Amino acid sequence: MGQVGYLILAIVIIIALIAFFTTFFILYKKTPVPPGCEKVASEQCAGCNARGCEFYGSYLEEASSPKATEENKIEENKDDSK
Amino acid sequence: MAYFTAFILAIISGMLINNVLLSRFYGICSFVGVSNKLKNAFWMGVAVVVVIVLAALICYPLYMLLDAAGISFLRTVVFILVIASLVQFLSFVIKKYSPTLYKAFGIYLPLITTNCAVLGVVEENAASHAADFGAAMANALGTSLGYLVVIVLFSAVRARLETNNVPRAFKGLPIALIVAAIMAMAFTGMKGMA
Repeated sequence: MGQVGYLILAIVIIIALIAFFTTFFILYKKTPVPPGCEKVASEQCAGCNARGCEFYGSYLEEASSPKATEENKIEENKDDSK
Repeated sequence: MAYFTAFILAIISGMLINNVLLSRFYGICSFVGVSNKLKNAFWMGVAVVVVIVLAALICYPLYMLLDAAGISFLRTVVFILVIASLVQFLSFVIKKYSPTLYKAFGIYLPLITTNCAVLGVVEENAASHAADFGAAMANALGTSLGYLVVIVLFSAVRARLETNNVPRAFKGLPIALIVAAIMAMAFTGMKGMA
């Protein structure tokens, strides 16, 4: 196999991997969230600031909700009183 | 028997002596970010173990193929694509077929795509264990178990600190980094065992 052959093999491998990634990414996005797992981000995310993470947005939304803000204020008041 | 002993020693070496987090400093981002709660840290560690072992299993023969074809210079790009595809595949399968696993560690899988520990292990296997599949797998298993052990220990310490009287300026990330530094110093003491 000559140099051109190896180059073509390299391009085929990379294109195949990109195709795999794209296929599974699309399948993942199209799969609905399993029942009972809707609030998984707010329950498990610990504010890791990984902005690239798809759960970052839903975690922020939950964290800035009125109930969460009130709980944070109570925590801050406890710290101040110490 | 000697091979089995060497295999076990390689795993222990990867776990404790050349720990991926505290000796080699790979994957620190997720280590600090996901270790607030013990349960989250445990499942993050399990997800990392699964991804690293599978990535090593797939990338090893792929590297052999690239090397035989004389295009091993493409290994980094290929490894990154393999890891990303593997993580997407696992995420899809877990989301579709196992709600229990999805709830347990489904949200941590996207974090692992960009985790240097995974790429570091497969690159290391390519560079130094290319001739021996057993050594490559021992490295992968040891590294990933080392990640799991350290992240669980770290989150346990952080959980204890939550109830302690930490000065306000040190709460959260600063004290976490100090704890990580002290743990790294402790693990340095194991280097002499190599």
